[in-house]
Amino acid sequence: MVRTPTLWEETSAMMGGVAALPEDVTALEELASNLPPDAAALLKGFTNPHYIKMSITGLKIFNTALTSVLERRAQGKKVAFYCFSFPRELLDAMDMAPVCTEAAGIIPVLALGCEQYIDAPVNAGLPDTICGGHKASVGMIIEQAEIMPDVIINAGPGSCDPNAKLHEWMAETWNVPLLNLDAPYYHDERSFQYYRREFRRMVERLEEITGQKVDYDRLREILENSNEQIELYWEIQELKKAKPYPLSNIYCVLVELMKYIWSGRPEAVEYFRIARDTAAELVRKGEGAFPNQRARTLWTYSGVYYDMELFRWLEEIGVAFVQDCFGWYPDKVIDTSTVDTMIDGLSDRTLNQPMTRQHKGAWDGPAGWAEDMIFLARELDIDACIYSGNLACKQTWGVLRLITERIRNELGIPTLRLETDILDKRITPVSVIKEQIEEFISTLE
Amino acid sequence: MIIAGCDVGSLSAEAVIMRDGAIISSEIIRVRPRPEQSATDVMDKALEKAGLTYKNIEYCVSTGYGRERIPFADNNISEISCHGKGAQWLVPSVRTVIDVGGQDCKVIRVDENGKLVNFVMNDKCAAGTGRFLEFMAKVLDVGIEDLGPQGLSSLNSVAITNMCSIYAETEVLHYVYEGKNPADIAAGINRSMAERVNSLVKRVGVEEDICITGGVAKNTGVVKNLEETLQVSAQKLPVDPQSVGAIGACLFAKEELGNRDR
Amino acid sequence: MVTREAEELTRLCETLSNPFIESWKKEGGKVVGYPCTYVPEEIIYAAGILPFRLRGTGCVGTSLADTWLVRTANCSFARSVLELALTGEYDFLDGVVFNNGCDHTRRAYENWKAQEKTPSFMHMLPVPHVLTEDGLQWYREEVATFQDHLQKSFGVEVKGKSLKEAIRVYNETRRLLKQLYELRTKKAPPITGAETLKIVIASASMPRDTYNQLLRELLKEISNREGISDYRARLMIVGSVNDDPALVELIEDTGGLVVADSLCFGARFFWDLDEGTGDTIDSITARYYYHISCPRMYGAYPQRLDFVKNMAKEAGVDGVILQAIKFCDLHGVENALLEKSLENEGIPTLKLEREYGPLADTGRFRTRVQAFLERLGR
Repeated sequence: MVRTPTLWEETSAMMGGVAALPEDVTALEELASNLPPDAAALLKGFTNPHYIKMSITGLKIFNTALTSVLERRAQGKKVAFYCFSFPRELLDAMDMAPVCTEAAGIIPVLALGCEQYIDAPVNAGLPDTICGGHKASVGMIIEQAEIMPDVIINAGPGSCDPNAKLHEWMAETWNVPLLNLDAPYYHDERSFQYYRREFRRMVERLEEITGQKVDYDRLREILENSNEQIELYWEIQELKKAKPYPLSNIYCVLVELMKYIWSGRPEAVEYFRIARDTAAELVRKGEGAFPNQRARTLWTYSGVYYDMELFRWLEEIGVAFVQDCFGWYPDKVIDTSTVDTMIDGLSDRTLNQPMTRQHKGAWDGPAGWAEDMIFLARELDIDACIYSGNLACKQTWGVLRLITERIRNELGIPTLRLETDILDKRITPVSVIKEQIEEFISTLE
Repeated sequence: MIIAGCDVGSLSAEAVIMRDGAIISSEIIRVRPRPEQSATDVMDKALEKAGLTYKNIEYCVSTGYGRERIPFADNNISEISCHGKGAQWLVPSVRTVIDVGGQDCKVIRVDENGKLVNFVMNDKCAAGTGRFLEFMAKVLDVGIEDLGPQGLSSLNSVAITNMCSIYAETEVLHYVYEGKNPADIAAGINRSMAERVNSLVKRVGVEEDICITGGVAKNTGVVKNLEETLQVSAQKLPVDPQSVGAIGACLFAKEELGNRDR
Repeated sequence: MVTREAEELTRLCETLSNPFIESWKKEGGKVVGYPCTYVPEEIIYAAGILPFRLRGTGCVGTSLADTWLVRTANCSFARSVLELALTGEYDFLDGVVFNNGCDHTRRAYENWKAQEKTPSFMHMLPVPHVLTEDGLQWYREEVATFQDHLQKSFGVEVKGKSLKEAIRVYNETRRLLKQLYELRTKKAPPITGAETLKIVIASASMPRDTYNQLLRELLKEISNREGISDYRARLMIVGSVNDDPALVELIEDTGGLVVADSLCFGARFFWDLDEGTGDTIDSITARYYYHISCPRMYGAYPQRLDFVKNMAKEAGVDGVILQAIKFCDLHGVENALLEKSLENEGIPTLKLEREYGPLADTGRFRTRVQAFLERLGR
């Protein structure tokens, strides 16, 4: 029997306090001080004064997105778990309750510090080398703190074995239909066509399994929002080039979460608009988002997510988290004129999502990891790279030396190599991470 | 019928001699550099105590890390089976044995005859073994046997969050520097230990009654924490928990003898 | 009695190269290495080249490979293969063809490729992760590209006739090895699991025609042997790649006899024959695409589970050992599924994590296997 309240309900209730906040740093800090330590640390990451409006908007979206899933589930809508690279817009247009597998685990653990859910899958027999994000999402269901999905969309095959295998495990263990989207190795026309056919087959199967049809008019509306997000995203990418750096470090991780949990919704567009407006204003005034900036950093894979306060701490020591691989969306605007252009557009976009794009093929191939990182390092005038090595990311660890040498040889930029778990704070204490970052940054000066 | 069991572990060696189904002698020593030496030394002592010689032993089973190198053993059986067997014989209602040793941790499920049903073992990581307690006792500058009682007197245990013993050590040091009450730190250590063991228990599941064996069973703080986490009371063993393996080996000797004579 | 040559066959697993390969090369023959059951060997064979399945044999440490792949996240088998490549042990190869079997192997390939000194022929043959008609077509195209590259690089031409012959020879091996496995289902199998592995490894380490001939000889001798009956239990091994008979010996030393497997250096390597329908390239491609799958194929778990259950039933298996190399998530996660599925059907399992390489943790391993046998009541 799944417990009540479920974990998401609990998280949503906690987030409810945030939703009621005015856009004021002191109010946020006060709320944080009255919450348990994990939630407090989470909120502290959002306290950059220039970006309080963006931060509160982002935090409210967490609440809205979570509540929406709970409501829709209560209404009997089909719950789909999807790997983060999959476009939730499609599921929204099918009137389903979409849940990003990774975010589903990450958000409650961050807010409520529920480490026992990270341990549960290993206790159930899974190897401990799988990704922390997945451990949490699977763990909460194993521990009956959350309800199982109705369908699982595995968009990981090709780019990450543990991700894809975990989705299969869920489907087989809980007897839930599994839809696989095989990412082809290359990035050429043939590959995009292959993927489009995969994608279309998936849509058909999804409609069959759930009994829901895609409402293409609704999809058009949603995609028009996504398109606006993309345009704003690109504007912000341009604004990022300014010196001093005009964005709060929390922007990058929020961008990812927005995409995973609420892309295509007006609130997400609003988020990007606020970010763009705030950044543009700072650039106009020639100001940075935080003082005494020392280094512009590119995080070549993910950030460190188990302690969001780290993003604010980086600002305090003058280090800008300018870009990470997971927040890199070289998305094109989708042509919403016909059903075909929309579906193909979604398919093409999915193949271009972080992790899939860089790691389905060769590290040094077109749209591969090296090409993307070098492009970003140049575009954004990066001083240093940081690889926050999630221990489960075997495909990136395997070519880390190759890429760090390439970046150093071509651009003269060094890379700090961290070893940590993406979500489990008990593996490498954040104090050790901070020490290593501080030492690294000081060597640049 | 005189039978014997000998358990040569990595830290201690035990010997148990039974006559007609009752234990007549048992001995525990610290291991010698070679398992054959440990086995012979401990069995010599046990025999002396019972006023017997090797010739009197009709069947001997060895177990433990050094089990394959015991010259006087007729057969060897894994310490997993032996612990399960021994514990269930001592307390017939036992179905789950949690053995927390110096170097490893095992959870053993047995049936009503003490026969092995399932097991899981952690012998790669210090967390959840006696070694973890050893590190921590050193950091706190107390004897390992004091951690239990000290921890029990605490009302406000600290939280030790790091999984890796190396980082946990640093965490404990910080608490020491901060001047935290040593009893509270000891309690935190015991709780962390219990959590690791609990993780292992979950992999194979619990069927009551349970009992805790191995050196760490003497740490009352860890035992209490484990009971709280599992929400089950552990049955007390009527003998030194470290001798359970050798007792099990002895019982297997009886069975092997029975089979042989058939 | 068998010929000395047939006996030699069971020793090929002890070294990487061997006298068969040496004489092949002396006569001007070329050798191309490959790591995985999804590479269509017949293509290589038909080009007159010797396909050699990559192993980690003889690797005692991975200190060089660990500066490319990492000890803390990458599979020790992939690291061992890379180590041998970096230390020149694979210099006897004239080329390699890899596929994106798993994250570890494909990265091993990329690190090898990035070295200053590399084999003159290196090819990546990407295989889909799903079993669809579209995927088959993709795979077909990749195989054609591979064949083309191979032909151009080595200045050879593969004709339909030579492909047909290749299929015949490879099917012959498959039939013979299946016969060998059939012998193991007897109550008193004439051969141990360790010896079986040696024979399977040999198939991918020497010219195939000669192998078939020697295997035929060996089979005759083996089937006339007195069976092994003093074992405690009949075991099956499932999981990550293993090219080391010592691992099987370690298991068999405890008294269990390994009578079946679902391994890629085992049954999965040869179980499915080429059905020979249609054009030869098509039938080769279909056979490789649809052969009993590796856990890398998504949506195919039910078939793999059935395969394991059928093998276990045919061989009268008492217990199944599910092993995975540390960091191997494909098998690690699959084993978690298999453990539940098999135990639910009353088939006892032992789940083990291991490292590939010189068996440093033999004590740990033995204790668990011994306890498993004790659990089986044997």
